[in-house]
Amino acid sequence: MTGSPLICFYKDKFIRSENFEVVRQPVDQNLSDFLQKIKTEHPDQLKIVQVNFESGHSDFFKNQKSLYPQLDAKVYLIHEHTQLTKLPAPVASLELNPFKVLQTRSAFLEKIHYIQSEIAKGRLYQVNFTSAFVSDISNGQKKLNQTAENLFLNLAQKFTGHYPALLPDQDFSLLCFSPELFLRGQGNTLTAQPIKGSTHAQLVSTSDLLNSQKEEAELSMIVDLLRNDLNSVESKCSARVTRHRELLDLNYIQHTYSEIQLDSTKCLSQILPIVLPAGSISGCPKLESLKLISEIETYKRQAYTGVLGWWKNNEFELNVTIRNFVRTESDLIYNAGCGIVYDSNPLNEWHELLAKTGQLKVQYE
Amino acid sequence: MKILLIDHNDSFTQNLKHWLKDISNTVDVLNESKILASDFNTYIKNYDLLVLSPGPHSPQHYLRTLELLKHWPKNKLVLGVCLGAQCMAFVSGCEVKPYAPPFHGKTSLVTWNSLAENQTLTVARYHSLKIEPNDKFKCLIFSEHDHIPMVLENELSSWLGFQFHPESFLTAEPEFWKNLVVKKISDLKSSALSVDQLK
Repeated sequence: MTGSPLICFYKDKFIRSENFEVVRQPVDQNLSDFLQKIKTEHPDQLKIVQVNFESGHSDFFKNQKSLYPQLDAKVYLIHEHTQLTKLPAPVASLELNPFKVLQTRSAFLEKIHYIQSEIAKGRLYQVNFTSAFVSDISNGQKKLNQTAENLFLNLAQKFTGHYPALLPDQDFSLLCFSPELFLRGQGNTLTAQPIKGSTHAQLVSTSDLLNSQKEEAELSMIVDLLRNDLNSVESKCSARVTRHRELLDLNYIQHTYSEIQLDSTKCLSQILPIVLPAGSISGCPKLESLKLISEIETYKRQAYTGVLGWWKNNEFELNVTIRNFVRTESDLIYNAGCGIVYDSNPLNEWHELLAKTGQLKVQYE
Repeated sequence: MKILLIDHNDSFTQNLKHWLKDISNTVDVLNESKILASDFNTYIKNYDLLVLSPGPHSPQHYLRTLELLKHWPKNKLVLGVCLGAQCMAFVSGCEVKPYAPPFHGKTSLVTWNSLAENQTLTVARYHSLKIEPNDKFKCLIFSEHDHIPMVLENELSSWLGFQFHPESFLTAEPEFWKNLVVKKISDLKSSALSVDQLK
């Protein structure tokens, strides 16, 4: 897998690099110190940052299994790169084996009932519940004879989104097609654009989505949560809601999103440990949601629902790492999830989970 | 004026802290797990207003907060938001019951009756428990349609409970509720003054 180039969104364009170096967060160093050290040593260099979902909360998730070897955070130092105005077309077409959902449909539905009983008790308002999907790419004639780059370019045609990235590592590659901006730092302004609310088989049209009180409440909760996370960064300036419930059309699915901004002069190493993990993929209240996720999800999420993006001087742009594939020697792993609230219809959430797999072939029991 | 804000591990506490900025320049946040009975007198001496944050679970989970509330002097205002108001209700002997379906991230209308006029206001709600008011902790305003207590206070008007979330972006008139808190503080001070004058 080594030798694959790195591709990442960059200011409405993309960068492609074959000359980069990976720096991993040491186990005895926290995220803030790790990022601060990188910043001090390489202030002007273009960097790609990737942080796992579990970062800073590993105690909650120590019993979860890992699907691939991946530490909490890493930074790619980009020595040379070219800029692309759009992603090129893939050179070979793609045929993938079906993806198996790593939990049964009945277990998924049962866990939603459990979440709803916890919500009724007053433990939490909303939790993002996710599932892993795995496709075997190692066996027989269906062996995936594609470079990571060609696989990425193929999938990018199906999974549209503003914040895609291909991040190669020693034993695996991340192929992310995120439509969601977690946080942008530009000038003295921080901008978050959380997504909540989706069309699916039972909520077909844009007007169905916009008229749904349930989807509206889900997004509103996350807006208040993101306001809270940004308000934790500064004590004098307060977060403001600059957009609410706007439509994001990705062809394969439609979402609603909002925008929250804060004036801040803090740097990434100070901000990130305070605001992670992203509210839209954890739940509300956040700590209680993380505890519940550790009770009901079998596997660590790792890069999925973490954040990744570029960082240079004091500017950065990080996505919420959703619509994410991990390619290992033997498997292609995908994850998807849904925000569960009290009035969720479990079967509709199952359909939403499947809608988020785009046109992938999915098998389940 | 200094404010002590007790945080019940909630994801809206920082919003509440920012909402309180207009009432005081000093808003210190203390996690409920750090409340020490041996420090009660220091808290009482150092702070003019105690605010109890929203949070997960029910009042019985927060024994330290319940103890602090019992010890807080009756001539100083306490503001409880959501779980905070439910803690006041619990200490006052009210029942705090499950409310289905829960109201999370949605708004309701409430009507404030003042001498001058009736004002209809939009408030944000995040709760799956409801307070059954009693003589010690009375309801001042109910939500329209589902008739759930939204604003409550004790006999001395020193405990003010908001079942709704004044700090949410969905609450349309946050200033109205800030002004109400400021008015309650000043009413308490003047009533304390008149008691002193009687002596």
